Amino acid sequence: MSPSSATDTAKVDAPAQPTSRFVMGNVACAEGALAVGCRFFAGYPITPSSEVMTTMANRLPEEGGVFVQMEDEIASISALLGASWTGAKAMTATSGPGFSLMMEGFGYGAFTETPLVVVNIQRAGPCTGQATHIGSGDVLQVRYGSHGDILPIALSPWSVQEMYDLTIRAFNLAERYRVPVFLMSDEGVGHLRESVVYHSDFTVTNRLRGGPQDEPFDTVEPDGVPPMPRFGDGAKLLVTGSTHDGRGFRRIDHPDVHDRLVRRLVDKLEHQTDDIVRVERYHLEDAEVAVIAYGFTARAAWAAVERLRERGVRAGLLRLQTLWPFPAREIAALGSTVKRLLMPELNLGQLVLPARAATHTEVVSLTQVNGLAISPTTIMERLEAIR
Amino acid sequence: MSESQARSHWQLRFGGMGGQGVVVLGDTIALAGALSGWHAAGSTSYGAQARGGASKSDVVLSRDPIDFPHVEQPDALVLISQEAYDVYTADEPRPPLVIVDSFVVHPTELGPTVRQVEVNATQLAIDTLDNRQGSNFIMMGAFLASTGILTVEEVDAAIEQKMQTRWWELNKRALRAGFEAVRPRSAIT
Repeated sequence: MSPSSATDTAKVDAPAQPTSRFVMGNVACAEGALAVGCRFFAGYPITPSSEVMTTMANRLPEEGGVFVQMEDEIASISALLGASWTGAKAMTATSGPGFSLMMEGFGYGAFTETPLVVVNIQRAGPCTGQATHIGSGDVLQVRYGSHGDILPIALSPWSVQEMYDLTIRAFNLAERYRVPVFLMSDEGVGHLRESVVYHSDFTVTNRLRGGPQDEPFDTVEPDGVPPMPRFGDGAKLLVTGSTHDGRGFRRIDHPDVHDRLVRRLVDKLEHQTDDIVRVERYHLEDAEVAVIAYGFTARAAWAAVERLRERGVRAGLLRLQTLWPFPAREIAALGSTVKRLLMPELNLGQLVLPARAATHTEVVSLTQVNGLAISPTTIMERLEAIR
Repeated sequence: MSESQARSHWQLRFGGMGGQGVVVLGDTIALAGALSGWHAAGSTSYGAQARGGASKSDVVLSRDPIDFPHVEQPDALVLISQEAYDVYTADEPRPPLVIVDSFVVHPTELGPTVRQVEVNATQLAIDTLDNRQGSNFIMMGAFLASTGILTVEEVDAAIEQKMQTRWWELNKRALRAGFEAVRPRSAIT
């Protein structure tokens, strides 16, 4: 079976005139989840993510889904694991300390190949930090925060429209690769109000269910994604966070089984970066300096680049829509065409580390951790200084 | 067309205390803009986390797609608490237009570059609407008359889309009362 045929895809007919609405990013995120078929949400409210949860609490019953307010964030992501194994598309949303708790369930989800979506509306950490203020200090935690070798998929929206569109994409990637997927947004985008179109012009990807003879935890197919049965279909199904063979039996003393499993789970994403990694390029054709940015900060970078262009400065922007797997190839290509790169981040320099590993061109780090958004002026001044 | 109406980019700030309704004001003007063909973006800062306890709702309206959606330098401030006035008029450079509810705000001298519009909105709401809650949309009407940015009918459309029916009449009347209170002295219209 080829990767392209490994999933059941369907095009939803677009209505003639999808209407534009003016809503908060967190609300658009919830609507995107509902549009792509999410019918289970378990969560615990936390600023600045709570509007995702309250919208799901109101809307899921209308769509025939199930909403549960859990006692904490570990319980929330654990409920998603169970829901997903019944065949449901499941989501939770959190921030700050709640995201740290969810690292537990993320490891379980990755190792048991359970599709689910975790929305992180990042705020200014560490710890309780500044609950109502913007940060992006979790972008390495999502990569390395759970123990063992796990490669996550993490997406980064920069507008209210993308809160809708990338939530849909997060579900499709989760279903396609049987993995937890993270929507790594931030307070700036989550609480931003903008116009959004709740269109239905997208493809819906559903997990491959397989038959009784298929192994649910291994495959000989090159994409490394086994079919996923569900509880209730009649298969004898074992799901364990311990090392397991293709049928789900614990194999905790078998070096070869453990090695194969750990490598397959990473490879099934690393071999698909062409499908998963997306970036956007602005004014890069003739740029001599460029910004690499993501999330709300990319909006400031866009403004900075536009204003510098008006002054004749040849500046450009590479906007990361996928954070993990890391867009190393795209950054390497950009590095070969510009004199210097600038990476503004709302942390003490996190994604600048893999960026520097990706290119020999100097990547200057611009950091801000005061709970405020980085302004276009700050980025303009630094770009002028390094060009 | 006035100079004001020809502007293609506005940065607006509505400031007050938490719970006073500045978020509703910001949301309504942003929605009215979006419904009237503007690109619109809104963001809020609220509660004790905002500077000094003042709460604000920021709106950007633009004829072009909005790159950075936060307010960097407001073109107009609408302020309905003394604390918000003290905090948000202290920013440099000074905003060119400041509109206050003079029932609760005592303006200070801000220099020759700042046009201050005082509307006794709370008193007007009590006297003409018999409802103190109407003061917010009196301020909205005063804001429309002072800037020419949108018409009262365009804001009506946002009220109808955003609010429960029982609030429509009060807020539309308040909008017109505020507009009429300022229009005769507006330098723009």
